[in-house]
Amino acid sequence: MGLAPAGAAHTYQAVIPPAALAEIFGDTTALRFLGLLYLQDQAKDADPQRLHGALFGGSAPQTAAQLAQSLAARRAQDLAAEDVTIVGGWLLTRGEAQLCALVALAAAT
Amino acid sequence: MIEDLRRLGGGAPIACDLCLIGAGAAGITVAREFIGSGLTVCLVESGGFDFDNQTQALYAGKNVGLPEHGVDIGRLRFFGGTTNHWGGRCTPLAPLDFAVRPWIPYSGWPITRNDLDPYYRRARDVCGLGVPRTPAEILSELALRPPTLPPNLLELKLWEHAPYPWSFGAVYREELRKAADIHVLLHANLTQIATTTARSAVSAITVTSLEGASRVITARCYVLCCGAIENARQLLSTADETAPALGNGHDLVGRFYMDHFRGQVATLVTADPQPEIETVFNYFGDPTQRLYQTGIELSPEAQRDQNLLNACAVFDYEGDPQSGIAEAQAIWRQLQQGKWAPDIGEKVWRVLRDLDGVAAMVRRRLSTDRHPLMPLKAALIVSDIEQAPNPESRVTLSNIHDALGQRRVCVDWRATALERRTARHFALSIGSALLRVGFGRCRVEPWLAGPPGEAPLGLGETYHQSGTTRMAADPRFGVVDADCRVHGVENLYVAGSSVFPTGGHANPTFTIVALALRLADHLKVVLRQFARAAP
Amino acid sequence: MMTLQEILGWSVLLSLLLAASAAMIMPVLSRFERAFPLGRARWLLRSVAVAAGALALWYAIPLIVQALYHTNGGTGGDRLG
Repeated sequence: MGLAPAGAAHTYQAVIPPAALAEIFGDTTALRFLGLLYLQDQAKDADPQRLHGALFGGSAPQTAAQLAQSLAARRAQDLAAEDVTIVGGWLLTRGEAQLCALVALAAAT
Repeated sequence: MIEDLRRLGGGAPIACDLCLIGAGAAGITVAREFIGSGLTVCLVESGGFDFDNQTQALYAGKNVGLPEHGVDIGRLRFFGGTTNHWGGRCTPLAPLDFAVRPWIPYSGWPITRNDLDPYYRRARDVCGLGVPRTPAEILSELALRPPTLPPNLLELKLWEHAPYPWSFGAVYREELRKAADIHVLLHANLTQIATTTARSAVSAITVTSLEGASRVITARCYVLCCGAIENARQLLSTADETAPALGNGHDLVGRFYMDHFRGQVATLVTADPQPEIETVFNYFGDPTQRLYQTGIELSPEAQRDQNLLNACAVFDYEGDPQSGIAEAQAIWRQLQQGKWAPDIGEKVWRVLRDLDGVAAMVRRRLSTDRHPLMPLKAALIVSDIEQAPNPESRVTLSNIHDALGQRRVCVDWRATALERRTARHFALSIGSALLRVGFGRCRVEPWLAGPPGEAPLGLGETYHQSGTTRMAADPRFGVVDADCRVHGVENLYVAGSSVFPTGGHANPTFTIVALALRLADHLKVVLRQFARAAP
Repeated sequence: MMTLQEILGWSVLLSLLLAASAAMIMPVLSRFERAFPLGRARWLLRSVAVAAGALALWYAIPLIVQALYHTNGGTGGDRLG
C-alpha cells in the first residue's frame, strides 16, 4: 500500500492530537477510509512528514481550535486556487484529502 | 384557412407563393409572418390537431448509436410539432457559440449573434415572453442574491420561461385559420420533391395522406420545417440512381447530428436543514406570473482557457416526501381540490413532528410569496453539455419503409471525448464553488470520478436534435448557406435546428423561432423579386 | 387497523375542529341560554351543537379553500426544448 516508512509514525502521531481530531470530526472512520482511497492514487503523499508539513507548515496545532483554524485557512487557500480532488467520488480540497491521508497513516501504525 | 387532405382528396395542384412543410415552431412562425403580406402560403402538416398513433409511427426509425429516444418519442408529428410538449425554457445561443473555436473542429456559424439579436427580440413575442428586461432587473425584481461564483470560470444563468403550456399549434391555430392568405393542409405528408432537369430548383412537391389522397403543390419557394431528423430524411430521399440528394454534393446531409447531453453530474449534500441554495438556484415567479429559472453556466473565458464546450447546470431538489413541510403542502393541495387528503391522520402527525419547520414555511410564504424551502435529501446537479460537431454522428436512411413507402431513418448518435472532459471539468468547478460559498459538498457521479477515458459518457439525450443540414457559406462545409437556402437549389430552404452548425447549451426552440423570423424576412424579399420579374 | 401515529393525528385534527366549532358556537349558545334557560340540558345542547359545528367545518373547509384557492396545477418545470 506504500504507507508510512518504519519509525515515522511516532513523529506525526504526536502532533495531531487524537482528542482534537475527535472533537472536530467525531468518529474518524470516514476520514481513514477516504485517506486510504486517496493514497491509492497519490502514493507520493504516503510520507507523513511531508503531509504534515504541507498541511501545517512549521506550527503543529495542539488544540481543536488551532486545528480547526489551520484547516480552515488551508481550505480557503485550496478553494481559491481550485486545488480540489475527487476521493471516492467526493470533492475534497487538497488539504482535506491530505488530512484524511494523515489519519489513515496514523491508524495504520 | 385550414383544410384536411383526407377530406379534400385528390385534385388540381395547389398553387401558392410559398410552401412550408411542417407546422412546428419554425413553420408556424414563418407562416405568421406572411399574414396580410399579399403573398399566399401553403403550410402542410403531416398530422392533424391531435396526436394519433398512425401518424406518429411515421417517425419511427432505427437507432444504431448512443441511445436516442428522441427519434420516435422526442418529436411529435401533429399540428404544433414538438412544441406540443415543449417545456418553455427560452434563452439565446451565446456569442461564443457562433464563433469559430479552434479547439472544436467544425465550429463556427456564417452569421454572428449580433446578426440574430434583432430576431431574438422579435422571438420574445412569438414565445409569449413579454417585455424584455436585463438579468440584473429580473434578479432585483425577484429579490435574488446569487452567491459569488469564481470569476472567469462560472456564471449565473437565468432562463425565462414561456407561459406553460405554449404549444404553437394551440396558441396560433385560430389566427392561421382566419388568415385568408394562409392555407393550412393537415394530414398531408411530403412524399416527393420534384425538381427541374438540372436539379437546380424544386418544381413541385407531392403530399399524401395515410389513406392515399394525394395532391401536388407548386410554389415559388419551398421550406423544409420538419425538424433535424426529418429534414435530413426528406433531403436524403431525393437521391436517385443518377444524382445525389439535393444539397448533398459533399455528403453532408444528415451528418453532424447533435443533441445536448443531459444528466446528473454530481449530488450536493448539506447539513443545513433549510438549505440556502434553494433560495438561489430554483424556479421563481414574479408578480405578473412570469416564470424564471436560475442555474450555472461555464463562462466563455473558461471555455477558451480550458478548451471546453459550453455547459449549464440546474438543481433538482429531492425533498423528503414525509417531512412536515411536504405533508402540509400535500394537505393544502388536496384542500384546493375540495377534499381532505385520504391519509389525513398520518399527514397531520408528520406536520406536528415538524411544527417549527412548517411554521417557518408559512411565515416565509406569507412575507415573501416565495416557494417554501424543502428539507433536502439531496440536490441533484443536472447538466446540459454542448455536443461537439462530429461528422460520424449522423442520420441516414435505412432499408425499412414506412406506411407511405418512404425509407425510415437510421440514427447513429456519437459522442467525442470532449463532452466527457467538459462534463468533468464543469462538475469539479461547480463542486468547488459550492464548497467555497458554504452551500454543501458534492459527490461526483461515478462515471466522472475516474480518469478521463475510463468510463463511457453517463449522460443521455434531451430531444434537442440539430445539425443535420448545417449552415455554412461554403458548400463544402454545409448544406445551407447563411440565408438557409440549400446550396445548389435556388428555391429550397430549410428552417429549424437542422441548420445549426453548433448548439451551445441553449434549448433550441428560441433560436429556431429567431432564425425562422430571419428567414421569413429574407423570403419576403425573394418572393417580391420573383413577383416583379414574373411576366 | 390504524397506527398510533394516525390515531394521534386524527385526534389533533378533531380537537382543532371541535375547538374551532366551540369558539364559533359558544357565544351564540350563551345568548340563547340566557334567553331560554335549559338547566342540565344545556350541556347536552352544547355538546350536540359543537359536534355538529365540527362536522359542518369538516365539510365546509375543503369547499371554502377550493372556492378561494383553486388551481389547475402545472409546474412549468419540464425542460424539453
